[in-house]
Amino acid sequence: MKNWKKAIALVASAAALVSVAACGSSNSGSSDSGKKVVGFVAVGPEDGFRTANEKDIQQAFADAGFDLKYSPTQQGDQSKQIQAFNKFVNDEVDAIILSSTEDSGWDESLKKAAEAEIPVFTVDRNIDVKDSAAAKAVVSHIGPSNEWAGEQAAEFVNKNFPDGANGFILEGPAGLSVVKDRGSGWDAKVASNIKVLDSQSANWSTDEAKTVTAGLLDKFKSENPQFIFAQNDEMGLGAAQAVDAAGLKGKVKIITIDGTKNALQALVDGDLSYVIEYNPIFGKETAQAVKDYLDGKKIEKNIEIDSKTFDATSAKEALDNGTRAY
Amino acid sequence: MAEKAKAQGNTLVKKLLGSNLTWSIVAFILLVIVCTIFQHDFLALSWNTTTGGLAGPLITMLQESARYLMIATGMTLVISTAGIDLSVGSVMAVSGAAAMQTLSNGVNVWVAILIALALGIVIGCINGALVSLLGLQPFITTLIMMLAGRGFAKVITSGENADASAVAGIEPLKWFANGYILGIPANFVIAVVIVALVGLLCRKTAMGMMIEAVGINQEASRMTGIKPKQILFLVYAISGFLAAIAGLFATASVMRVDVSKTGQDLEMYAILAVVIGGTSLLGGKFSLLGSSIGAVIIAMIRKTIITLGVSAEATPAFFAIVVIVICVMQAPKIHNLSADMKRKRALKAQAKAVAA
Repeated sequence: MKNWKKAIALVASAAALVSVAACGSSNSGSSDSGKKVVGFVAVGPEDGFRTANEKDIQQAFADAGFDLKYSPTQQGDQSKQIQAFNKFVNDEVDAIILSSTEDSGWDESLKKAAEAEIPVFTVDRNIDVKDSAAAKAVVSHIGPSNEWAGEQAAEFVNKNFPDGANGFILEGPAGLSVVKDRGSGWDAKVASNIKVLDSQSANWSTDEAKTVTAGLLDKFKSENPQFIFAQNDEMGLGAAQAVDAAGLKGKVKIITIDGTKNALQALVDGDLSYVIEYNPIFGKETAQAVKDYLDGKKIEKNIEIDSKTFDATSAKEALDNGTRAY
Repeated sequence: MAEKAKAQGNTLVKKLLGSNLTWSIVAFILLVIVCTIFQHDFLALSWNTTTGGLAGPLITMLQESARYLMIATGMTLVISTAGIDLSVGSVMAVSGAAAMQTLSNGVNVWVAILIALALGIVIGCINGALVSLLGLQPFITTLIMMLAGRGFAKVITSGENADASAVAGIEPLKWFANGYILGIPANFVIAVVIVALVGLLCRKTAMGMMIEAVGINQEASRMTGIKPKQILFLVYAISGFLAAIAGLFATASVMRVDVSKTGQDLEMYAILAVVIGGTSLLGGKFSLLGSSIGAVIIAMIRKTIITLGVSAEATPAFFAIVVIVICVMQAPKIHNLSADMKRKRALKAQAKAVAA
């Protein structure tokens, strides 16, 4: 029993020593070469979109003469992101880029950043900050708009079915800000004669979307579904296969968001009807914003990145160009 | 004479009521009834000319159940040796990733299938070797393999979601997942045949008995001349092989692997199917038929979620509640409840009589 207590005391004191030591050595604000240091709290390789997005940001910051410290997490683990964020604050970097896996839970870390007067730039996914002291740390959000993407989907359906239509929505996992924003964009613009029979989650997955769509097509056969709005490409591709198997190819219009190569190809092949891009290439804009802010210029609170929309013809052009990075 | 027949009938009823299988089937039928209330033509079947098979809600349910049948069968064997295989979901991702990636690199479809299955067996053998030869804890060994497997799947496709839907000559693999044999989904038929073969192997030879003996007491089984290490190695290898088949079913259905989603959480579904089937997690006794029904029930619960339109937020809770209700229905304590009450009432009456 006594030994245990001793051991615990020893471990605790050792930990205290180490943390003191860590504090002592944490003045690496500007690195030796005089470059500004920027910490990038990233998601890590998740899919084609993420890979293209993070490679582009790394490249752009290197080009702009920053020293970018890249810290990816794994399997969307937020706790690792928070650790990385706190470490950057302790290291007193010049700025932090945050590509968060979840939209909440950042208040404490942001407060620390605000105290240390480190500007934070959120990219791609916006975050939900309740605390006003924490909100001060966030200088700007840079990324394409998910709401805009949802609006485009609704407007495509409005335009194609002026006399009204029935259909489904395939959502991503519940609780993600992306899912909420794409959904609210749709809700804001969709016409009153467009009826959503059911909206279900297919977990961003092709395979699940196929099963869910097959089930929904069975259930609502008599209601003549004419459109499916899939909140990402992967689910749209699965829905297309279920529609094909049910012998409804061409009769059900499938709209997806993201704009990956596979989806554009499916658009050319006629499996999908409309793809709304969610542009991952905005490293340059991000680097410019960080630079401007550090130079003392005023920058916008919300920098929206333009995305495109594709139909079969423009998809073919884009694929033939061969310039798409993802 | 009549009394005897009645008594026999009573014991038969009792036996039926006491059996897990009966309650699993009751649960299945209840789910079907609930679905039919919400969607009146739930049981309707039609002939689909585009796919050349039957179509309808039940058919898509069977199609989905094939993968659960595979992993639940492997899991049953592993669990009955008092082990557990948490890596089945990741093995599915590995085999699916291997098949899709090799196909999109232009490898012949049969070679791709063989590579995928071989990888499954290899991972199963590694699990088996670590558990049997080194005596590591099955939980830890397969947990590590679960994490490593998903990483390995990502390495195979270099982190992307490999797509082989546009590759030429993939028809055989596509048929495995989407085709029909006499109108019934091919993957379901294949899965049932494989389960039957495993069942024959276990019950017509001494293997099933040996597996159970190892599960009850490894040391005692060794003393009776069984080689527990070989048996342990074998069950993990079989589990890996069957998980690889499940991975092919899951990915070939859309000809696309989603390295972070394929097979995600399916180890839990497999364990649930085994528990619903009446196999004890402590090992020792197993029922492949029970696990198979459990696997179909899992697919049926998922179908119910779609049919009822349960919202995305409530899906996991709904799933959990249904599984718990099924487990409660099967609990022997619940079956004995009426008998218990009768006995207590009799005791009370007796106590009253004595007091009077």
